[in-house]
Amino acid sequence: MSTTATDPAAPILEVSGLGVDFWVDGEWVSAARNMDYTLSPGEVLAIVGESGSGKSTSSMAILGLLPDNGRALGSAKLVGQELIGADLQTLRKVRGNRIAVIFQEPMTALNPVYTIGFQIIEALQVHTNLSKAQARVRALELLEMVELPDPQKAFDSYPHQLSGGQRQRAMIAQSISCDPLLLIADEPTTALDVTVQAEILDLLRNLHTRLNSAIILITHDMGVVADLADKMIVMKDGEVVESGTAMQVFREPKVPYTQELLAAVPKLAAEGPAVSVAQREAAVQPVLSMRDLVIEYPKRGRVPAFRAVEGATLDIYPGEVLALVGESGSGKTTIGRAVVGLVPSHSGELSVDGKNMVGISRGDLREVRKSLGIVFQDPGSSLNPRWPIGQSIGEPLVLAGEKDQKVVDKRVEDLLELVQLPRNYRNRFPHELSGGQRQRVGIARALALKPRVLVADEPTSALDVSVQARVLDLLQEIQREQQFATLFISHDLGVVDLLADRIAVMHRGRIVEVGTSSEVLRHPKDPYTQRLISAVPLPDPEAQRERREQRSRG
Amino acid sequence: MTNTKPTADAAANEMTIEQRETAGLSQGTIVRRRFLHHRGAVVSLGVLIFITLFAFSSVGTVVGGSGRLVVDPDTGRQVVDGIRLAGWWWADWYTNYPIVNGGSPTLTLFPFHIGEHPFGQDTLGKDVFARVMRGTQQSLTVTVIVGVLSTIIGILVGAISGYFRRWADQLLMRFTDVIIIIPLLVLGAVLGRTIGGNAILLAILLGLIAWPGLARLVRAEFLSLREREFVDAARVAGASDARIIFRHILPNAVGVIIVNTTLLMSAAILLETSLSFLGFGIKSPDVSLGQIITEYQEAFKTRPWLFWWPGLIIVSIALTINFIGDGLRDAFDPRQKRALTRKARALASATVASTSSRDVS
Repeated sequence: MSTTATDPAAPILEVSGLGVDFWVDGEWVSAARNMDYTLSPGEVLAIVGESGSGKSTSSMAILGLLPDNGRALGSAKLVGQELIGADLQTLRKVRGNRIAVIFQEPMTALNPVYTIGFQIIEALQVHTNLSKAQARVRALELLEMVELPDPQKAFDSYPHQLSGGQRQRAMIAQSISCDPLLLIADEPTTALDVTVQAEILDLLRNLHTRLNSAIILITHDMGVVADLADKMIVMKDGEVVESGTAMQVFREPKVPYTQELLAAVPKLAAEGPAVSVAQREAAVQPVLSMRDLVIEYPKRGRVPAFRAVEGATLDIYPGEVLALVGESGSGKTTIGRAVVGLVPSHSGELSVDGKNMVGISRGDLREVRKSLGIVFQDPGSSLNPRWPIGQSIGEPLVLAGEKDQKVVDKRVEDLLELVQLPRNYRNRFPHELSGGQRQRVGIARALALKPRVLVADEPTSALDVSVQARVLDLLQEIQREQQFATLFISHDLGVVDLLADRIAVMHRGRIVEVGTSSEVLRHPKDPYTQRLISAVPLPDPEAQRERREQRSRG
Repeated sequence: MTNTKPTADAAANEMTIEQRETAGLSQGTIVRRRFLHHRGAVVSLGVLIFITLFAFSSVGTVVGGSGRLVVDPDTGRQVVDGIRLAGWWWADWYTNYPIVNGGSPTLTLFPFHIGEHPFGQDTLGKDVFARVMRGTQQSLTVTVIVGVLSTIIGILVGAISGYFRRWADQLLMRFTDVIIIIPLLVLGAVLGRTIGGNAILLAILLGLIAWPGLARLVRAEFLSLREREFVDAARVAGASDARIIFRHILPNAVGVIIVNTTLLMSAAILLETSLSFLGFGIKSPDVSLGQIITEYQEAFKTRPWLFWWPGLIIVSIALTINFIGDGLRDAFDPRQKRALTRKARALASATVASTSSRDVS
């Protein structure tokens, strides 16, 4: 503590030779090796890498938060105090007080049965000897500091009563409650919408300059890095492959892996390719069309009916990819689910392959579903964990009345080949596959019946960038080959730009703008679309700074 | 030791399955294979089958009839009412024989000798071996019927209310509440006289009451599983409700069901014992294991062998059922083999401790 008082510029954290090992199947497996970095007050260090690269684990090791079968090696000094191998007593004093953590998912990191205020007061009282009244005043101060619109109301609220962005603000308020020297932000904005993400990033930037604390930002999003970081470390398979200032790494990536990583980030090209939508002949009928479609979640008990989608009008033609973009809660997933008949439509018109889906009977629905396929967002939960994947892929065939097991087997093998998975994977279980492989299985299942319409509900949002790029390539290739119509639901404008022929933007249950990709992304007409596009962080520090300044002026 | 071996075997087996690149395996095939590779479960299944066969074949059994003693008009001896299927053991469980060897067991291991009454005799001269075998039959019958019946009802009620929710859930759960509040012993007292010591009827009665706990657990499990996306995926593929419930969700709920069912089956033995103790369960001249123990409780110091065998068999039945349940649960859960064994974990933490202490110094 005396060090900080005497020398304000002294590094807060000195890490040298930090490594993490896990004991797996009778041997030590290294999850991170030889990490060296120093962090001065007010600096933001980004640790970038794909899942499994050891970026989170190495940071948790500093706090001594490793699972039972893990061990930390090397040294990490917080203002001169060694943390690796320190006893629990010391670590407990450091945690929350001098090093604080902001977690990815504020809903699970906050305790749902206590109010926000109570949780902040609790954190304050553990580490300081403030009285209850003083702690209360301080907590309100903190909530104001994180720019919550109504601090008093937030203080008395339970986590579920706040929106995602507000919860993340409350989390941040709690973590800065003891003026920590170091903030570890583990994917702080991954669970948030782009516009909210932009706000939270602004907040983090303001706070760390005001508090002069250092931040370790763990993320896989290059845009976030470009927005916030001074220095960055790129990790791959536990190894630091590149480190330097953010500007250096973005401008002149030295290692091929970093180059690949940067290249894999789907970005909004400044000027898009020539409009690729072929001129449609007037005779071609849309394979999916909706007119003034209204979707309501019926009222249950005292909860009133909720109108999720209102007056949606859209057409998708065979062989076309239409992207539906919007923030969470905008109703885009609801439309996707209505198209496959998982949510009943309330009124209006929704026809798939010529059959009207509003008020459809169960028998007819079963028929229509033979020409429909859906790829779900989370490949971890969309495959039955107790079924070998071959059985999952073959199920639509069996249910469509295919009795001959040999025909099903053959088709399953063909489908696995189509999504570029080895045939002998068919007897594996979902947990034995990686996220990208699982999503391939999801695509194979959706295509089992050669559908006319494919609904892809955020198929890549749970995947790493490089995996995402490969899965998107695959999807695009198959789509070109088989020419089915695709309703592609996404919140990622970069991905949409890559894939879609046309884009529909949704906001609060309404479609606010429809047009070709380049029209919507390059020349947005609707103010909401403009806001959405400007909130996307660019994977380029300079361009991002320009944009930020522009935004704050405007 | 026993822990590590079967998992290693299973892993090795899994490898060969994959390498063989066989045609697709259904879930059923995989579950069967995995179960057969679970050594504890297979041995237990063998033991249970052996106990069952031994119990039924040794003293034979009685089919139908009231189970009371009647006098056979031809021979003038007392026999059990009903069709008596004879076994290979010479004695039966209701006749009083002349006391041999002071009633002590005639079974000796060195030199091996079975004798007339290997498990001994009680004060009236009844053959304890025959009584234990008959008791085992009755207790097994109760256990199996209670287990099967309450599992079926529990799964159906829980699955339907958890899957369909709304009014079906309301209706079934209120019905479950009604069943839960029925005091079992009072019901046993009322119906015990009518049933008159028939093990099968008693078991059906218990099975009809014992399911609410399981139904609640299954319902909770279904409520969470039905929201998973694989259920939606199946629905889009065109699966019917029944298929989703039984083929998709149920295998995922198997862990909870098996733990509960094995507990329930073990509890059924004890429940039958307490009913017998109060005079409402299986009644003399018929026997159950629980009844033997309670009947002879006064003789614990003087004739301990009256307890050894029934006790041993109750424990074996409960243990084997638990092991089989374990094996089934592991077989249904494809993740099981990845678990860290306790030995490796201990080793890991020991190494962590030593390395971290070295780091500090």
